[in-house]
Amino acid sequence: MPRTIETVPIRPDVLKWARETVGLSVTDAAQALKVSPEVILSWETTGVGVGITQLRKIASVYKRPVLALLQTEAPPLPQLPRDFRTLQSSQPNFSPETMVAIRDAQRIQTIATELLEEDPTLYPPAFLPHAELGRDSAVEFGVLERSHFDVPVSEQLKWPSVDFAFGFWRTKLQRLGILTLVKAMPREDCRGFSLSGSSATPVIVVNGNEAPHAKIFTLFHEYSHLALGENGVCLESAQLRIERWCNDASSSFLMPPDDVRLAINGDPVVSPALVQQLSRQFKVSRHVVAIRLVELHLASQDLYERILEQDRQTQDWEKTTRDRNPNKEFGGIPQEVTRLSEVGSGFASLILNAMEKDLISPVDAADHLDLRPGKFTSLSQRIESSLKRYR
Amino acid sequence: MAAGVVRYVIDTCAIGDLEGISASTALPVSEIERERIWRGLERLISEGRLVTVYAARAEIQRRCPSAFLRLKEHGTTFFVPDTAQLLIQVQSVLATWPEMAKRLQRAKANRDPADPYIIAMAHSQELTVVTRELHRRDRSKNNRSGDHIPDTCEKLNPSVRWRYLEDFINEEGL
Repeated sequence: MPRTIETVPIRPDVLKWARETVGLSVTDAAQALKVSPEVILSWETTGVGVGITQLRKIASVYKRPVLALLQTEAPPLPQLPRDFRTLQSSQPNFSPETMVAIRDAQRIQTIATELLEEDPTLYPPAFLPHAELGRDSAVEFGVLERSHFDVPVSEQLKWPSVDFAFGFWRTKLQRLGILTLVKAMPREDCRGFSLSGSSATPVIVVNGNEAPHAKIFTLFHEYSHLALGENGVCLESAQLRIERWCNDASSSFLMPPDDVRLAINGDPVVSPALVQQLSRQFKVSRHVVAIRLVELHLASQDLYERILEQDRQTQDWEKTTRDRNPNKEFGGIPQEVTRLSEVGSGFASLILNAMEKDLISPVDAADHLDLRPGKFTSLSQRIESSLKRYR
Repeated sequence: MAAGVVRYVIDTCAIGDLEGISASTALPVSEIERERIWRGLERLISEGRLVTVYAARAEIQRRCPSAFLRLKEHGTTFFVPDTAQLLIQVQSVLATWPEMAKRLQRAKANRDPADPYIIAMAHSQELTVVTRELHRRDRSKNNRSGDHIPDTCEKLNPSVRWRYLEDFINEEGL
């Protein structure tokens, strides 16, 4: 009677690659897989024969399909965006959720770039501005870009809501050939990141766990990174010079100095209520308004500190509420709506266009969009309606 | 199973096209013909002559839920569970399919493409793959890069037999 094979040999280098590319330490991986760190190290030194159940468990912890662990050689480690979150950023240490978001954004960027090489008419060509740290003023860059976007502040002040503002700015960036994605990541880990490359389609990713006004700010913070040609993962803290530059550029873009002065008749702002009012008008956070006012010498540092403290308390309350109801907001939303919100009308229309032109099959399109082919008509209608809304 | 009887392993896109999930690639048949073909498939399944791999279960459920409702009634007679032997064979298939290996580097968790499993099962059990993926020679000029299921079947040694869905239907008189 032939011997039944019960284990599958997994190569040590593949196991190490899978663990490292999800950002887990040996200790974290051991804890998640309920084995000792020595076992993980032994797997990664000599390989391992595992049963199917254990193989699925490893794939699940390492956030990979089982097939990825069956490869006969480890793929090269992916190039990660630079870490702009702290001063000590030599060795990026992203959370598994952020690593998976980076991987997915890179997947989308590769698909888009390859399709555009085959047919450049599928999506608008990206023309990114160019700026240099140390040479260009962030504030002037923001104001200049704002004029290129041709969206008067008077129009911005009339928008009905901050959600509308996010949709509008996002669509505008997509029309400029920049893919914009929304990915859920831990808020304390990352606000957003950008991906570029000499011939690659530029991508901006904003954290889906952030409030809409924070997402808007991140869109233009990352746009500024793309202009500098220095893309990376950001928390938008002011520790690094490049982060300060991108913050200033984004603030200046969203709240051009002359328009801010006009909005308050040039009078100094002393009350948090007025900061709140400006936040509603410009569709940016109170925090951004307060910083902007201080920079323009229109408010005191003390007012900024008060706003910061109030926002911190609100964020703590929101976090507690969110932790109690982690997935409540997603119930009952159609699949194509969730996907469109994540990949944006830019990538979705690029894929549908490629399918129309027979560059990819409906099955490939379904895989790229992670959506059933039966939902394509509805997706297409929603894209059209979104483009009309944010004309 | 009598010697000489052909056994098949079917891929997800063949099921999707038979079900008419996407108008542009649906098998051009009437509703009556479609139902007749489905009954023929179900007969082959019950005779143990038509199977698919377990990884196709999630794909079919995701891409063609109506077909899934019908096929899940056949349980593991149709969706054959993975074995260690099959997974070892999958490793050999991946080694000959660089595009798939590249795709896997950025594939989502819990999204195992079924194609390598299908070819591996056909290779190890001498089954014939039924697919609607096009061989390079049958694709439009725009779409000839990369290996699809038929190309990979032919690259293996010994090569794996494969049939387009339409030919399989004709040959089996479905």
